[in-house]
Amino acid sequence: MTPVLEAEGLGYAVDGSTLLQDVDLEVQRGELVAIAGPNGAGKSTLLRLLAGDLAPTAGEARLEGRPCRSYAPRDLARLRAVLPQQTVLQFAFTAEEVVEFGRAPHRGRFSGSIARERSVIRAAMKEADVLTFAARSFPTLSAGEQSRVSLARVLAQETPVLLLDEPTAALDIRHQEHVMGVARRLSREGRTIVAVVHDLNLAARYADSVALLCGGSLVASGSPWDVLTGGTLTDVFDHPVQVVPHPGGDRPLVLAEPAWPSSSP
Amino acid sequence: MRALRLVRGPLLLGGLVVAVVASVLLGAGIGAVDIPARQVIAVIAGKLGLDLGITVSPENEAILWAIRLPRVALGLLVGAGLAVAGATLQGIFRNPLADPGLIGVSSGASLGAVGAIVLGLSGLGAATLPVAAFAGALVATFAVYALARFEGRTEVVTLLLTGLAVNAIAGAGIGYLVFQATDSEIRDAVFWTLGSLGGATWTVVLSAAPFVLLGVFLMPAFARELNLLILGEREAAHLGVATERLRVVLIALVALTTGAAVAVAGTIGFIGLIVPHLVRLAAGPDNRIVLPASALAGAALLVFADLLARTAAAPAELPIGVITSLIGGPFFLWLLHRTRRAHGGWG
Repeated sequence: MTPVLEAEGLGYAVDGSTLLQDVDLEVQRGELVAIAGPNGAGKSTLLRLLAGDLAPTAGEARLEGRPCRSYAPRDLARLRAVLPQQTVLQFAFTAEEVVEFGRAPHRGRFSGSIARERSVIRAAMKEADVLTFAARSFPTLSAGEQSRVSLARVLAQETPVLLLDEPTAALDIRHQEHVMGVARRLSREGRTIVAVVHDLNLAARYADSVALLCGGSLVASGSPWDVLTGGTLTDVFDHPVQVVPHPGGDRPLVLAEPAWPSSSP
Repeated sequence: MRALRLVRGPLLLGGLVVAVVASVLLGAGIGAVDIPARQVIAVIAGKLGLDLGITVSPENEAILWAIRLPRVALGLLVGAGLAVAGATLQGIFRNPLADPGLIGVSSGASLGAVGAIVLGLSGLGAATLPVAAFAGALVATFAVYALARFEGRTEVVTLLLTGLAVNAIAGAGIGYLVFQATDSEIRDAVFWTLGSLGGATWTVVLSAAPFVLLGVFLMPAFARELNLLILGEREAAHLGVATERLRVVLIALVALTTGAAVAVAGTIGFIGLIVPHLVRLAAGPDNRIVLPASALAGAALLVFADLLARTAAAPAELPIGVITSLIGGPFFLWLLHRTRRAHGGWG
């Protein structure tokens, strides 16, 4: 079976510095893959290459078997949606209007009924838990609220592939779990999701597979139990890390050693 | 709430159509000789081949047709063009403080027009000035665009400082050319810096109309894509917009419209800033409303401003830029203050 998303010898260099090199990755339909790794590991670069934002300087990124950059912008927008880390908006569009923008790739000659458009937008807003401030102006929302509105916009795009850059970074603990839960459920419904996730425990609990990057290279990829081991994480993050079974289920729990005082006797 | 938002746009557009009609009737009717609105209507209808059975004296008809109506028509054109160009620039730069005057597009256009006059260019007939102004505006816009953008957006302070520099350079060029020129055809520097509708004849109106109208009618066709661009450079691309192509097309249309407006009326400041803001305050930021509403509001506003310029110190005539800058300057200061407060800095 052809993977939905595929990186082969993928690399990206700019101004003589290599941000990503020699990454091989296959993502199957219905999989939820977490990209993890330290700051500057190349996580966002990998996501942007998979999204078709950047042209690879080595290797190839493929979506449905074709190079990501070979699609017309609109065709690509019907195949994959991208959640950016942050959206800076200087004009007072309401949260609901921002979510409506997600429907743009589907508008045109054969656009669906208004009733269907409205129900898609409402469902996306409900999913991202933003209905309560639908009418508020986007620039006045908190970072976490903005991030969820952007998620609703991405969901409204109704694409088979979702690429999420730190979807949980600005969120409180309830919404972190909620958003990862939504991603998990969507993947069970057949959508393919790749998310940059900083919190290793979120990756451990929700992802089918974890791709661990360090210094622009793929260090390990596979199931959370295989990738998120104390030894690997201690090496990659250059900090003592233990992994134990999560008391609430069959997933690893990642514990960092305190940097003070116990680690520096 | 939603229903309110949906009707606000059409309501505003309807109201603005009424304002445009009122501006035409008052702008044409008021002056050294006051002419009633029904006579203005009769003359316009008469030229369109409709006889309304209203008698208009030959003197009044001459005043209207030779002096007042071309001036009103020029005001409508220039006002609509500058306002739509301003609204579009704000979208391209993703920055609500962009304005053709402030960021140097207008002075680039002026330099182009003055240059063409001094060099004695006339190869394109009546279109020579608008085309030369278009070229100047295009160079200025792309220069500001290339210099002021960083990582897909422009900060207010960078944009305005870049505009300041472009304005200074173009201003020096205009000053030098006007100073050197012996050609009696060249207008004085006041025209190029404060603008005027005083030169209006039907020939002037027709020389600018095709360019301005092209921009005024084409820019709103990109309103939906411009909305997505405002959301973000990458976001727009992710939603299927060919962002590079969109920006090049829109910058060309802005330069064309602004260039033609400046070629016939000089640089009239702040219309492109004030009008889209007022429209957004009334109907929200959706460009599908903002662009057409700005065209109508800009048209009406400039005709009213010109009426004020003609009558406030009659029989002397104020440069129209004095009026628009007197309103626009304080408005701009208020916007700067508000932007600064909202973003906690010069974001």
